[in-house]
Amino acid sequence: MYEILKDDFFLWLKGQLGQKEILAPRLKEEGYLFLPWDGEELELTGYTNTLKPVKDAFFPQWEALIRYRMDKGKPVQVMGENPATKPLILFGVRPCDARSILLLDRVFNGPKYKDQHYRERRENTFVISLACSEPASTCFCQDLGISPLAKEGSDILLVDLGDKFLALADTLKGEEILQERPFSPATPGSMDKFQALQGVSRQAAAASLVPEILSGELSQVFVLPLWDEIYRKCLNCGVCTYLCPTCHCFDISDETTDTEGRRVRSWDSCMFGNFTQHGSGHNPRPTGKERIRQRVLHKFKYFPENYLAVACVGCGRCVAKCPVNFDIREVLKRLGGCQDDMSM
Amino acid sequence: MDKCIREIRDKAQELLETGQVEVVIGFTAGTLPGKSTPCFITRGEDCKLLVWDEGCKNNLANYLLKEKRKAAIIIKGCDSRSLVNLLTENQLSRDRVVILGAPCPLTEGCEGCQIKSPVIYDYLVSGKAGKTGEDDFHDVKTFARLSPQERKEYFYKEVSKCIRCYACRNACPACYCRECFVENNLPQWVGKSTQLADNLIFHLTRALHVAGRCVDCGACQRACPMGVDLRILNRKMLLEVKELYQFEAGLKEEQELPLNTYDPGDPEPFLAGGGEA
Ligand code: SF4
Ligand code: SF4
Ligand code: SF4
Ligand code: SF4
Ligand code: SF4
Repeated sequence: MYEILKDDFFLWLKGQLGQKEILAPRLKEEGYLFLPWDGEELELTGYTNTLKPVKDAFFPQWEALIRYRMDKGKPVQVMGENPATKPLILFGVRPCDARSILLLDRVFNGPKYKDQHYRERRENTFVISLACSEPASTCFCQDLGISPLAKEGSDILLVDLGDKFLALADTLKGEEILQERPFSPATPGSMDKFQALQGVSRQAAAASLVPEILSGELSQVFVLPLWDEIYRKCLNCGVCTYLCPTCHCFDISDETTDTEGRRVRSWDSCMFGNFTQHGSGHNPRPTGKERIRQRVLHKFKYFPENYLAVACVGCGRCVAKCPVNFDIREVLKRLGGCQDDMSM
Repeated sequence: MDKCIREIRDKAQELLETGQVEVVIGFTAGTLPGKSTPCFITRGEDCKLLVWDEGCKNNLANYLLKEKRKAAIIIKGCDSRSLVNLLTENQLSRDRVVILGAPCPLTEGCEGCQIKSPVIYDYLVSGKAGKTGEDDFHDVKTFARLSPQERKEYFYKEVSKCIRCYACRNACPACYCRECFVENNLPQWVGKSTQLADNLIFHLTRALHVAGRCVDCGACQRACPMGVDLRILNRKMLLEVKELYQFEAGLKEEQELPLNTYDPGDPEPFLAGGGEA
């Protein structure tokens, strides 16, 4: 464990600007967003989390994969797109989002499949997280067994101790940085403070929200009457999945003129009606019922079966921003057998 | 509002218990402060869970499009205008819907709103019906006085926040096309990037597609997670339609939709020579 005076930390961070681009939470009209930081004072009072999740840095909302040109009488020319390669520091990531990066890694950089664009961005990025001291009312990381002080997924996690940060590393890259000045080994006083914070957050952690039934047979979960009820108010928009740090579905489309074009990858969502629309016109998920079921079960059943972890980190963005107040916590409670709640 | 919600609950329960409807579409308490959430009630005893308060902001008319059961719907002024629209556009059959009209529960109301009470209903809950005044469109007129550069900057700023989640479109009761142009891929009318050009095409086209049908309910803007505010654009279209056709959407069931009718004598000022041969 290490520590650093806050002023020294920001000086150090500023010093990185020469070689690296830095994205930090910046307050815009619509909320906090990860935006380029050029060294001026960061306004972080009131910062709970960013509006858009951190995935945007590795798996952007849209990107061109290739460009091509077709001139009459000549072979088609294909130009690969190189994702930006300037090394990046992501500052101010919250522990829930840091964990989401590990989940995306399993999808885009796992043993079976490696996505070149994702991987290049990921390897070029250094993640410095900020532990949460005041979670928002929509945060429920702790109900999923994730601590607001967790360092998993961060190269460095900073914990606010007043005029200094306690600093922990979760990677070798992070550890190497912390071993050098201006970071210094944590004093016993700072470590005590950290332990006290940990105690509080452990106490706050309630029993897991993920109900037992989801580890059972799919054939039973799939036909629960609950699916017939909860979907009705849903608008089938992209809010909950686009803003979700772990959602990773995409679409690929070609944009062409007469002679040239580009192939674009863009976020997609299982909540959209045409997500599973076949060329034949058949749609295996014809109504909102099948779509909501997909979203819930992918996060809490299929992903755990495929990648051994729940694909929700409790960031609460979907809860806070859903236009009709569809609250995934309520769905989990109902799946767990809690009293019938009309609000679903 | 206490009296109002009591009346709503009683009527809803009666409609369910006498078998006049199979479902009541209304609002119940939500999980976040200041947010009530749409609900679908099928048992009379559950009607006590209905609420009618500040948090009831969604435009419920939308839900009738997908509802296959005989339904009662609890609506405020702007929702009722959307309903009128859907009826005049033959998207709903009037005899499958029981309309429980109630006064708008928002104390502040929306800037410029003149129609806080339903214009169409089967039962009217505590309050008066109809239109309360004239909209003077001063916001549109003030905006029009800005320089073209300033107006362009405003639109660019707003649409560049957009993440193309389509919550605005899906929340809008006038946007009910089975296949929206943004999803059409043979041909693909608009790119899937969030580059300014693609975002602009989405928003400008949507504004034109709802021209003469938008009732200025604000559902699109409220649904937006990114705070995109294009109300001025919709209101500009409202004003254009009002001035060109003396038409305001969703006020009367009998009125003909201006963009759905054709008369050989229609003025055509946009054609060369003003349309004169
Ligand atoms: S749950 Fe909410 S945010 Fe998600 S698709 Fe439905 S309406 Fe949109
Ligand atoms: S499902 Fe909702 S709470 Fe969970 S990670 Fe995604 S946005 Fe956050
Ligand atoms: S929840 Fe839906 S959008 Fe998100 S990753 Fe799963 S299938 Fe894709
Ligand atoms: S465009 Fe917006 S304001 Fe107009 S009817 Fe649709 S949701 Fe309402
Ligand atoms: S709701 Fe907002 S972010 Fe989503 S498509 Fe509409 S304007 Fe864009």
